[in-house]
Amino acid sequence: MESTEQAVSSRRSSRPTLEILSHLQQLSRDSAEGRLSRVYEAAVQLPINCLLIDKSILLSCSKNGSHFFPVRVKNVCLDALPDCSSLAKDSVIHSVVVNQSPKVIEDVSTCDTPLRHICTHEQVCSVACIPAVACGETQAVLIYMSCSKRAFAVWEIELMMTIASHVATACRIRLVDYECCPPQVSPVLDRLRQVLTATSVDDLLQNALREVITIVNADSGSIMLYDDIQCRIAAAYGLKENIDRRVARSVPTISNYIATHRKPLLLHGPVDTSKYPGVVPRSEIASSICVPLRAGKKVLGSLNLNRSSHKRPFGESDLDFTTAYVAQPLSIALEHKRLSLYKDDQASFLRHLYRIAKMITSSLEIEEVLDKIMDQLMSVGRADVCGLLLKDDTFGEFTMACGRGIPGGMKDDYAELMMPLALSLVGRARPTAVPDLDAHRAYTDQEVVRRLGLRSAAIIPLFIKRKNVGFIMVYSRQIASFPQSLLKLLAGLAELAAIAIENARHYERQLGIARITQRLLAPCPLVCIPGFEIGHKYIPAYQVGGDYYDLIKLSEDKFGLALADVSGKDVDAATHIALCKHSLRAVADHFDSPSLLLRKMNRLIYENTSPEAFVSMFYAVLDIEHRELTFSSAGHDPGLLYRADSRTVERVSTPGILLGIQPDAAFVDGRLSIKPGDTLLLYTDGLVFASSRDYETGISKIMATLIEHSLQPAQQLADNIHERTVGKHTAKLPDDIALIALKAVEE
Amino acid sequence: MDFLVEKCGNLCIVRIIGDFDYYHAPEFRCVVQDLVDEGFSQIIVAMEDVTFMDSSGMSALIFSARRLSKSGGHFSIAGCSPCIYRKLEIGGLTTIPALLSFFPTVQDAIQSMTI
Repeated sequence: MESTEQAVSSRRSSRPTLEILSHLQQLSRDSAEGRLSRVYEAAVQLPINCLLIDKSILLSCSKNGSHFFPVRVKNVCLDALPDCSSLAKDSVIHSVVVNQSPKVIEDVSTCDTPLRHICTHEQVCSVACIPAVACGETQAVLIYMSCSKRAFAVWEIELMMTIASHVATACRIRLVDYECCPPQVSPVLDRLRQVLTATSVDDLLQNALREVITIVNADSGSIMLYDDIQCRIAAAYGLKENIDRRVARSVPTISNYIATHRKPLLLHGPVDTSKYPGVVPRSEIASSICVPLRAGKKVLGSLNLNRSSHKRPFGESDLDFTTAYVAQPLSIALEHKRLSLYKDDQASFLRHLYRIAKMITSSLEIEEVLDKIMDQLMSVGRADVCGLLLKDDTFGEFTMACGRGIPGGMKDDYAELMMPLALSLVGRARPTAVPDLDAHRAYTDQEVVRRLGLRSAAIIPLFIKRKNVGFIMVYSRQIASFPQSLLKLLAGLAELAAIAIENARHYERQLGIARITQRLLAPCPLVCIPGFEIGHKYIPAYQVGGDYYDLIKLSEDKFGLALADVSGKDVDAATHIALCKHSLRAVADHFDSPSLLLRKMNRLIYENTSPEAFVSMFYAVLDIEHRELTFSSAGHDPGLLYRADSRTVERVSTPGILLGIQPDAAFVDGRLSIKPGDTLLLYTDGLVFASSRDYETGISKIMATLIEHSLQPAQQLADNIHERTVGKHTAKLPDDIALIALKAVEE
Repeated sequence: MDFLVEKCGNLCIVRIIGDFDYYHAPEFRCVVQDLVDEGFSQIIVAMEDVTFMDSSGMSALIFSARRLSKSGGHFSIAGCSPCIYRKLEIGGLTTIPALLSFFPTVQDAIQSMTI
């Protein structure tokens, strides 16, 4: 069997995909509207398209299960099918119909039934028989066949069952609509059928009730719905208002009675209180019909119709009619609507959560994250006041982290409002709503609650790794404004918030380490070089920068000068800089040739960093005795050399690839002499792009500034160049800027 | 910034529109990663509509090219503006055809593959 499953997965394995779901949605619409032929077609075709099914048969089942007739087949020769009566004798089909549960035969040759004859004729090996059940009756049987021997996965059977349930619903709706319906009532029922397509449950019930009251000639009526907790009035017509309210408080009613007994009731005259204890008799009602609304075995609610005239009471025929032609289609439509609304609710819930997740995880800075959580609480949570308490890392106490909504409110104001409620609920793992703050004794006395006019609240604990790390608190000026559905959404939000806060804290810790590293790495006071001036400037765009420069004394008359730009920003960059800086310092005095040094650095970086890390570096060795500069560039921007005698700027560079990309990259040396008054300017591309988004324009601007300020001392020159290019940038810099100016002076 | 992805056989064209910088490079990496996971072996990055590229953009290109070459594919860049090409040239990235090929237009890139 295992090998069969493997063979299956290699041929065509597919978990339910969006495509299947969209087909199912279409099927569900078709079935709700009773488009039988489309439903049948989909039922036989869909598994062939998306499951490993080769052939399918849809057998319609007579009411007592004694007859079957094929209504639709796919890839099966109709001649192969035995006659109706022998199918009814088939033990497999019979057991599916009676037990109303699917049956799978992995190897059909092992069973000896009429079904086997079909299978032999059609060269089928494995079969799944699925009953289509509606209102407790098997309406049809779906037979899905595979020509290869195979097992069926649970999800496949589930999918087949779903298809079957749609077939059953469609059969049932059609049965009710046309087949069993006496011709004289069919136009009336057509009207009812129309109202059953309403978009909301409330509209559906209200319209249906009105229609039914007209059809059966009643004076008043109601539709009650049961949820898990109580029975409530969902639609009412012609009832006195006080009755509405009384029923809503779920006192014993006839509806509750029939919910338990599942049988329709016909009542005449005042209710017999000995038979239905607790029910308050209503004098204005002469006779009534109460019919349970059932979907399968589940009772959804009841349909109650009343007549007030004693001269014209309801009879048995009214009861039968209402049960058969009104209650059944209404139940099916209602259940279908509820299911589809639930589906829509789930979808919108997930959409909401996705949007929230996107919002609150878009930042890693704790303040920003908290701010975004507050935004979401105010908008999604529909809060008037909200706040967040977090557990203190050191003392383990809950403290106010932030709040929103109290005009001019400081942290203390929020703490005063929220602490008592939060502390009273510490340890509770579930979100809790306080629908009416007045009922909460501790709150009635709170001045701040009265002043802000707050009426209801909800509190949602935040958990990280099963530890309660804080609370989200929301308050509203409306009473009971945090229903279960909203609480569920807030709980989702809290989960995301906890993760976002944890991430931000983690990032903050990481950043703290990076900041310390950066302090150690920051371009240190450069050493003095006889006959030269050094000017430098460094402005990181983020907390931790990705540029660095260094000046290393190699010998008495030789100095190494490095300027590098490391890929990445913040924490990543800091770790790469650490590697660069220390490696460079460790190996610099072993190499006289900058190109060989870069070769070494390239290997080190290639072997010791992540694949996306690379470094552009300009490295030069300055020989002060001969005033000569040997340099090499690894993908770095060209140095700019100002020549004092010609008052021109030339670009200084050698071809070379960025460090860390190719393990065996080679570099070349360049050489130049540097005379008093000449200035070499090295910089990172942050300077160029701060000056212009166009690279060449940026370089030209820097060159012009260099000429203009060439007579100034090196540090002043560096400051001026920085000021000219970046000075206007008030917004956050897009990239780090580092520059270093080496000016030769008369000794 | 935006990405437009066109798929055809084992070839995929990713068009980058707008600024290709620190804020958008990670998304690009994810897009390419997904394509590599889907099994595309030829990826052409159409850069005609890139308005700006910084070193993060460059980093994303290198990362993606490496990722693709590791799984046996090839990465091409088409339609760079002179300014962006200059930046890539300074970085030495135009000298490693095994990793990255450059073409004036997407059409040229496609032709080079079909020849």
